Amino acid sequence: MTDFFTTYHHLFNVFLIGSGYALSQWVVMRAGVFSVATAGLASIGAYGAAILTTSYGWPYPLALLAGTLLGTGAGLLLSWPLARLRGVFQAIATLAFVQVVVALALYSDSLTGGAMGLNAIPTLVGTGETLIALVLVVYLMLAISATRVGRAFEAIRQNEAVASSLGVSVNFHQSLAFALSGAIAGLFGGLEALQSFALFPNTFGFPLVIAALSYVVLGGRRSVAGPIVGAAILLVLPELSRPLADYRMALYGAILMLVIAFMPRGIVDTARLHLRRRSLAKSGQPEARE
Amino acid sequence: MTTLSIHNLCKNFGGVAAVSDVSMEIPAGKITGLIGPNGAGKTTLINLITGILSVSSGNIRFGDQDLTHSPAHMVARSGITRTFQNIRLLTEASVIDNVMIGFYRKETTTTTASLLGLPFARRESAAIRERAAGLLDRFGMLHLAAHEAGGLAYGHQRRVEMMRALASEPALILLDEPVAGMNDVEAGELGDIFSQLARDGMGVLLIEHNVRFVTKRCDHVYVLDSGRMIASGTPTEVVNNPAVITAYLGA
Repeated sequence: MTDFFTTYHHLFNVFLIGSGYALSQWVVMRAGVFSVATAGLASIGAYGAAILTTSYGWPYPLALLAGTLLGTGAGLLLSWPLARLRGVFQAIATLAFVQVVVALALYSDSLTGGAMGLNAIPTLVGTGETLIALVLVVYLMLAISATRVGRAFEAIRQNEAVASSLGVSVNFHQSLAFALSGAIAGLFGGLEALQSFALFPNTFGFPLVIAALSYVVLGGRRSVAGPIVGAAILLVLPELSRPLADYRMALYGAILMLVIAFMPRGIVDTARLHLRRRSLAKSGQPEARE
Repeated sequence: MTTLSIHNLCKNFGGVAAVSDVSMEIPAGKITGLIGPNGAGKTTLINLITGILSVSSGNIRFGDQDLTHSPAHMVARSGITRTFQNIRLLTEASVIDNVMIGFYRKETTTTTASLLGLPFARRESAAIRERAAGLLDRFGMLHLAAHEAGGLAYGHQRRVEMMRALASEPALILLDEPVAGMNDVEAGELGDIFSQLARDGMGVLLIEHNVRFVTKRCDHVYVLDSGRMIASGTPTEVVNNPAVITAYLGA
């Protein structure tokens, strides 16, 4: 029984942190930026928080705040050279950023422990703190979606020329999205660092880039629930299907392919669209087409 | 009452002069027409005014502001909006969301208030939703508010774009072929709206191929051909100008 609890308790923490990374990925895409920098930004927050607690004895709230600010700063810095890039070029440039962060973590032995990793990090946070952080981030994302900045993001994502012709500054909002993405990634990187004993450079490498992207693509790009549902499915399903453990990655890939092929908007957005169309049909609205 | 004045405006793409040495005035309270054959540079001129393209030389002034090198969002904030030749809507968003973004320029919510979801930010959003609904009602489209904009019929999409441009009560509106593909009745309805806007004091620039529509609606007409201004004057003067006839019909 205890086994059962510890297994799933750990899984729940992994899900909370994955949801955080998913929201970091979601918020940039929401503003029409195809950045995959989340992994690198999380790494900066994680190493920052871990080093400040282990080497300098900072209390964990301050270390988490520092991780968040480091992530924000890195996101802002990144947005500056990337302002002139679009689409797949942004993806490639941010992927390069992730690799640079991995390389830096590998080679600055004295600070990060290099390939041996940073060990004996005190476990200072648990499910409670992570859950509070996630609730806070979800609240902020919902607030944005419901107000002015959300409308600006949405306009930029769908058509930059339209957005700027209505007075929306594309550069400002894309920098803001990078900063928010960096803040969320830094915070959850810190949370991961302070509950997993050890950090290795490759924890925040290419696999995390793919994972964060997959959560958003699978769950949906518009509603806040999308990335969380995506993270839940991709993290929990393989764990629950123990008999298929050997085929985990294959299962993961198959789910992703099926969703992309049949629900290109992602699970949550497709479901919401479906419901909206049904309610429009039910209320007897005339069909939009003439 | 602000007038947009353009002086000796030039735009080169590599060696090609898309717009050369163009000067014109677009006063408030009037409908100014801009006609010319395909490829004359009409849309390029709008893109220069709205800051989507950078100006090679010359200047653009709006009242006492110099907009020559202003980025697109700053031009919009000075009170100039536009519609696009090929309709550009936020196709995945609902009709009402498309109109709501039109109010962006007038919103007073700060970024911080929006991020934190403060009551004021939410109240302003609710107020804008209501005003957008009012605008939809005036254009007879309230029943389509929740529909996805990309799925609307062509005429409805045109109207959504128009409402979005008018939402922020601009001082000047640039209309890039607003009645293209419409029949005479639909075009007439829209034309009445344009005339009303001008009477209310708005400046209107109308780019159009339909010469009949332009002569009926405009107070003053400019004619562009191969990037140069070849004629200007009242609609009757312009359509009888030999240079204009040559440009349109060939020598």
